[in-house]
Amino acid sequence: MTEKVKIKIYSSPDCSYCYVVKDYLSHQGIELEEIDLYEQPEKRQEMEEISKQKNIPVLIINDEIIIGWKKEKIDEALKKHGAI
Amino acid sequence: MEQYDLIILGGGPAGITAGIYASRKKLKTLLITKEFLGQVGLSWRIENYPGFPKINGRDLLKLFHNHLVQNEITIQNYEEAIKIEKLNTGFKLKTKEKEYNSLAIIIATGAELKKLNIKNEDRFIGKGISYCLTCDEKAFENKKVAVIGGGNTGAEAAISLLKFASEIYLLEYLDHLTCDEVLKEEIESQSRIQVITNAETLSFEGNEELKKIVYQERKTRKIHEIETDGCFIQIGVMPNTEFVKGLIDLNKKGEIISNLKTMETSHKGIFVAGDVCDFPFKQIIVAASQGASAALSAYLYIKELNN
Repeated sequence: MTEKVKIKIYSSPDCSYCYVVKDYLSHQGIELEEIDLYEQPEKRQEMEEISKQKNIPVLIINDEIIIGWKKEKIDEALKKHGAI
Repeated sequence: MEQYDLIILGGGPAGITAGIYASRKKLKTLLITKEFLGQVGLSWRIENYPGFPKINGRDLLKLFHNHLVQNEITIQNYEEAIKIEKLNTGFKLKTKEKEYNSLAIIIATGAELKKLNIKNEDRFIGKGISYCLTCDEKAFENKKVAVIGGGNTGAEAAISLLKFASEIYLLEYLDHLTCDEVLKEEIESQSRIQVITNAETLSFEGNEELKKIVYQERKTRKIHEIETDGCFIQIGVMPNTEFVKGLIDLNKKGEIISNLKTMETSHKGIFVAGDVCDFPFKQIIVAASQGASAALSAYLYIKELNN
């Protein structure tokens, strides 16, 4: 049995690119865990440590980190990890 | 191969308005966009679009989009045009995924934020430097932040940062801010915003994270440093026209040269609207108006072809 791909996004409600990334994944029928940094500001440090930088959105597909709205990189990672 | 009367490229105010007008003229229309965002979607506060005294850019775009989808139109979201080829009648449009044919095309692909292309800019992206205010301003709570660019976008960024940052520097290359007078007044009334004009940014400095911005005062040629934790670069936009180079005439900035009465380009059957064209005022209402004009001109062009 294939293991389920873990997809997580660090985002905030005002962040336009976060909205695009989430909409794109939902367009592909992909579910993800969302960490809203407005709701959970204490998670910002965790996000900065994982991604080694401060900008959002930060998308994590299994162990792969994608910063910003980068469709080709997201597609590549989704394919590589068997999510599409 | 899917055949359309009209293909519209772009999902900002220009493309969306063109889509609404074209579908009301019963043109078989396809709108292709790499995302529904545009420059408007990145704006945190819009105060000059009639009917909406104060609205967030993404909310306004959502309303535009909701209006668009009430019309009969095919939409391919998350697809990007890579080439237009001329056929005997009409055009073949290639995206990374598919190919489509149409009698006419409206290019409303907008523009991308410009980079400064100076020393250490790439090194500090995400480590102090950002281009997206709505995404990253919250990261600078109680910190010193600089904004580079004194146009409307830069001025609005400086004002928005008052919510979070302790001190804000607004750097402008020219000897005056180029933003609207109302924004200028708002900035001047804020003691936490320091405006620095005639500033040519030379480099970003720091170790792991951004710590300083180095600039030259253009009149005295003196080099100065600003200590800062963050920097938003808001120096304008570059048109998305790479895919039409060689097919239609562009000006030196890479914008599509247009007939502003009809929104025709140098290539018959290809029209243009919004920030991607050579009209100097990059405004939402201008883009929407040009989208309407382009769709109506395309309608007349297609009608003539079919007669």
